[in-house]
Amino acid sequence: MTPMNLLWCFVGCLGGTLVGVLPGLGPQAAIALLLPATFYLPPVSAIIMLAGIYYGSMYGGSTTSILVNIPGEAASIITCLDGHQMAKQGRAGPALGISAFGSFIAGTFGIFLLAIVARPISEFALRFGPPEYFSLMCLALMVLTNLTSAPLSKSLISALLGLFLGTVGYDIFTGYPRFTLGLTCIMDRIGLIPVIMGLFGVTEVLMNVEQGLKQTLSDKKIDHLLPNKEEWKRSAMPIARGTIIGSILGILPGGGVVMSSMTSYAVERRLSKHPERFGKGAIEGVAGPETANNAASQCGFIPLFTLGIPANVTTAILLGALMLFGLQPGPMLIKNNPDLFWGTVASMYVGNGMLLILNLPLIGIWVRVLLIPYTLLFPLILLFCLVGVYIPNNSVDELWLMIFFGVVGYIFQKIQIPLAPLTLAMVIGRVFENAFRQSLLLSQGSLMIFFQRPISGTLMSIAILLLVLGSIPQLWGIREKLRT
Amino acid sequence: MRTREVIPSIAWIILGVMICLGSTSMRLGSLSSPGPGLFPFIIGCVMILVSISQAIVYAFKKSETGHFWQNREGVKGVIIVLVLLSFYALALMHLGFSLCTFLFFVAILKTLGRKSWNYALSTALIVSFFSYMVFAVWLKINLPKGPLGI
Repeated sequence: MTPMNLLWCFVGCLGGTLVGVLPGLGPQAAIALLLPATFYLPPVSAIIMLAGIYYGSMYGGSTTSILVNIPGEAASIITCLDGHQMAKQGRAGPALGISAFGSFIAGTFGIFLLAIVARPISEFALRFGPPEYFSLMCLALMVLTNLTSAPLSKSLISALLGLFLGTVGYDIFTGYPRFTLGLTCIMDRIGLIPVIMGLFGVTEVLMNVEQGLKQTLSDKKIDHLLPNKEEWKRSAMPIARGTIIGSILGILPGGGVVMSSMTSYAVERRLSKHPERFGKGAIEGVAGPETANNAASQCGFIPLFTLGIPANVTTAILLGALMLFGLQPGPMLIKNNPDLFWGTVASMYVGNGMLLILNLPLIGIWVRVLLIPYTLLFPLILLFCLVGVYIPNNSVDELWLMIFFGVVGYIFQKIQIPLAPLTLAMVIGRVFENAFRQSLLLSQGSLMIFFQRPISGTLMSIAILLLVLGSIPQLWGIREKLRT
Repeated sequence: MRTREVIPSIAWIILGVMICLGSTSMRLGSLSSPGPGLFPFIIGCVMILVSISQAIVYAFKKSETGHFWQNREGVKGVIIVLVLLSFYALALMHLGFSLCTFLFFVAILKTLGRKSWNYALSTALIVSFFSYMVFAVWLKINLPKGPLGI
């Protein structure tokens, strides 16, 4: 951690929080918008800055949930329930404060967990061959498709589209151009930046413009950022439980972040002596979910760095970013690039601390950002998207690609097709296909290879079980209830 | 019948068929020697199966109520944004970054923001000036220059 890298971590945290605070933009959009800014840095500094952006945007999303009742992402929906109620009662300060402290504690625990388990998991993962990777990615996709709020069939279609988009471009085995339609901008492959800018930047703007976004900023003054003794006492156990829940669920490839915040809320409500306070400004309803959310985000880095499998959409985008820097996360990353891995772990801890020390005093600035009228804000967001897509390759064709995916994302939102499976599938698409083809070459065409090897067989069986369970009509009603 | 679900399902079936046909024009190979078209072909087949099952399920469900486009004013706004984004992409290499950004902001603030000409012109000028200073001067990013040299 050189002074320059500390500076980039701070810049990332600041930029991430600034963008994350903007209504309608979550961590995915924040990383998408700020990713081009990292291209001018050396890989280690770029990844440190990216980690700072990730943390900052997660925290920025929580701030928006509490102050404006607009969740920055799905995992922050729960924070709106009690967080915004606290803000309306003039207790925005303690809500923001406990969110920051809880996130810091969970993040610290998560980073230590990452540091401890990364090497053993990587060494275990060295036993993974193409069939194991293929089965693990099938499992990740099945978990994610089951956890979205859409019906399973729509999530599957989203994932299949993502896998198809991942095949566009030169085939890595034969060099044959696939589905390029003669367009040079997608000859290599469809670029990640135009897609995520389109799906998460432009789409959000289009949805907000259609809905005529009205900001309901709490006009109560924000002071007393530190929770008082009573609030700390009530938050202590939710923070502890949230840390454990988030850490366990966050490692699951596919959807731990959303599930962890909702599980934590449900647990706290169940365990509370006064469950009627939930939904009306109970600090436990902010402390637990926010802690679980951050723990899951943190532990989501474990499968990313050790196995090269993203745990959620945001880490999928980070995976794409790491690949743009020429790095392949996986068991060999710790072995071949230990400086990168440990540098990133250290920066995560520093970023966590920076968020606590800097973001709380800077709340006044974030509130002012929220006062910017949306009619001025959304063209700025679009400008960010346009410049961000143009910069890497100086390509106007990629602007068109971004606009195309913005329209696609908008239509998908209207017909309720989730974007998360598409994004994750597209990021892992090439690796997924390569693992499939290599497995078939190993087995000389036998699909049984995915079941004959113990690790692969176990993972594939769980994936198929999830597919079957998700398809059973009798369970649709239960899934609908769980989702609501 | 839920038309809002059945129509997209039919679209996915058509897309799946197109993917399969496109894949067959490349070498499919075999399971023991997979060609470039095999994986997309499998994706296309699975997409067709999932879409057909979805279409059948929704064909027998009660119709949904309410209009699809609930906020027509909002949809006009969406179209305006897309038109302006397209204008930006078309004009960027000809008019340059600063002029494009200026015109983009004026158009958005006048059409969607319904601001006065003074507000729109002055805000657009400030934004295009600051964005030029940040991107082109400070970060030294090579942005397209227009007839004004900026």
